[in-house]
Amino acid sequence: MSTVPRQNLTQALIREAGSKLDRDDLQRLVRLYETILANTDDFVYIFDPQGRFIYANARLLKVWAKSLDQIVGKTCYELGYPEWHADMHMREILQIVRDKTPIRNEVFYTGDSGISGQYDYIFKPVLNTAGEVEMVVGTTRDVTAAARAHAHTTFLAHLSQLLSVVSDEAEINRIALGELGRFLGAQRALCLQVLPGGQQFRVLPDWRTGDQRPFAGDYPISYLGSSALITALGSETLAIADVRADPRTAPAAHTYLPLGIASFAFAPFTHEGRWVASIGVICDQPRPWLDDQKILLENVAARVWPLVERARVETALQSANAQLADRATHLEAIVQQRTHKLSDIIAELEAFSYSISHDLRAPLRSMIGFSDILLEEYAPRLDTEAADFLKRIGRAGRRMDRLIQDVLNFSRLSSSEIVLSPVPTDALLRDVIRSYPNLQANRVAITLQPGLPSVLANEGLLTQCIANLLENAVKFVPADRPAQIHVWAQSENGRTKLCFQDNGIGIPEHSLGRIFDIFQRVGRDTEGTGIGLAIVRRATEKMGGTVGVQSQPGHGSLFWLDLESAPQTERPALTSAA
Amino acid sequence: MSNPTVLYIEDSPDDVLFVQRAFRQVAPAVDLLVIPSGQAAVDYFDPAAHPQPPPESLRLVLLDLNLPGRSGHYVLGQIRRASRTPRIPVVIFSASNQQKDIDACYAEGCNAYLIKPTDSQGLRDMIALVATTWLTENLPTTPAPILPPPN
Repeated sequence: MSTVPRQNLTQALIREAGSKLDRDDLQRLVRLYETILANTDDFVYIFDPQGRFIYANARLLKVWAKSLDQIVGKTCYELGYPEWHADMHMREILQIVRDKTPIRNEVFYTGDSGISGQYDYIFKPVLNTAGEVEMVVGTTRDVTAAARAHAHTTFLAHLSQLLSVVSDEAEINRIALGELGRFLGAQRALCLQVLPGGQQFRVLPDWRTGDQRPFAGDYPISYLGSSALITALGSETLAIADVRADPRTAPAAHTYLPLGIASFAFAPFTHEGRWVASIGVICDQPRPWLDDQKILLENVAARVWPLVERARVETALQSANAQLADRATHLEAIVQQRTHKLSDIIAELEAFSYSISHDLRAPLRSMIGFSDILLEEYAPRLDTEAADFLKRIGRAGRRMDRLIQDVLNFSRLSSSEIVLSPVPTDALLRDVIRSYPNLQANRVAITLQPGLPSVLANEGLLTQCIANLLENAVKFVPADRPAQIHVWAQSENGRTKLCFQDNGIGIPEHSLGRIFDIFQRVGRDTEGTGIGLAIVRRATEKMGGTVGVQSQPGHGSLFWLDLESAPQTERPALTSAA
Repeated sequence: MSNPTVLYIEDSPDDVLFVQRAFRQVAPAVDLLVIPSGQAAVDYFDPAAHPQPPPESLRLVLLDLNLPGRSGHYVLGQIRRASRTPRIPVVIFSASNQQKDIDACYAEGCNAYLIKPTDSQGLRDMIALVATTWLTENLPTTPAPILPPPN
């Protein structure tokens, strides 16, 4: 060709050759087109109206491994097309001859190599001057790779969608492996996890067809194969088309084959360069693996494994939460159970207290009553000593009665629920002093600090405390001097210390520590039951307060109650001391 | 007019003796009728079990709480709900100073709640007070109509 034409090549050739083309020109033209057509990856061919090939480009001839001469005049049938395929093309050609319109179609085809292909083709009519179809020109493009890429993209999207609604590890595993195995036409799909330390691997529950036995379980890493194979599995997407043929697996083929492993492909998932898991498929027959199938595996591994890990973290979190909740519930149940038990015990104790109160006191009343009657009605017949003994019986009985009463009061303190409210101590003290005969004797002088504050307390309990402290103070003053008791209060930081100073005999230091304990009687206290101060302490503690004492023998005692101050709603009126 | 009658429901013979003695000393004109158990007391007031009605002179019931079998609480309830004398004054005479006993008795309609005194002087004082209050000062209601025994 002498010049490089810029416009339509055929037109240029015709122009160059004059209006008439000779045989050389035609041959030249054919060579030119042939060259062009040979350079394309597409197949280009021409049928006559009867469906016989009259042309095929070099690319197609190469696939057929035939020369042009060998195919001209042959039909698809004669060229060895499968019957369905030849039928289809023949129908199409006849349709084009009839309708004079092009046809575009796709065909799936599995070649001898076992690799299936997908082809996109166009048949176009070439009309003669009479307007009849003279030839049918076809071009076919191999769209296998593009179609596969599309299918893979669709598959991955589908898989992602399926996985987006599950959060359970087993479900993720089951769905991903099932989809993958079916999509790749494998007999088994599995996910293996390299266990920490790298010496073992775990096969998660695998997907499999037929009645193949499951692989799930933990195995030594060496079970995977040679160390070279293990390295390969952990660092690249490994596809073995035939375990007997591949040098990496051939030496151990006899161990793979009984397990139904004739061919496999696995993609690793690595974390910071460390192999953590692989996802792949296994086939019981040899098969080729395409690059894009390996890429698909990599994509699946990259998508699925992080989901598995996330599911595990979530499961761990959930189980931790559930455990916490469980423990909380359990604890609550235990607390309830014990509270219930305690209430039962308290109820029992109360019933016991009640029966003590009644059953012990009834015979006492008889003792006291009969000794009284003897003293009253038989006095003339009793000598002094007998009368004295009867009096002693009566005194002992009365003391025992008091003791029982005090024990009961003390035990009631522990079980009863109390309500705290502001109690004006000034008024309460005056009430107590008025209503306790012991505190009004001539020889008793009680002075109150003016304007004693209100405290947060239970009036009944505080009354008991104050009465006990005042009666104690009076009781322990030697008979030869008047009892002088001073009551005052100190308020600080929301608390009030109510102090009772007496001029009694005082308490030896060694007794101070146990003076608030039950049944501790100090000194010459013959009347007391040893419970009064225990009641004071327990009642005060019940009101959220504390008790204390300071004393020296011969210098009187200072007892105090430390209670929460009442909220300052109104100032207590200043009143003079009693 | 006949002597006023006081019904004393009490299981303890000693307490009965003390109370009888106290009445003798401070209110000798009172007829003290003693019933020694809860069930006997319930029967006494039940027209079916005890066809003879309580005497018209019955002015007061003294009721112990801690009785064997039927408790004093039960007896009180029966007197108020199922007897021919539902409005008879009932004074509880108990050793229990438990608030729940006191509250329960008032809820059942007792007229007073007294704690048994320990010594004889205390008992005398209390019986004198009871006699004055309930037998002298307090005015009785008309007796309830006597109902025929149920078929």
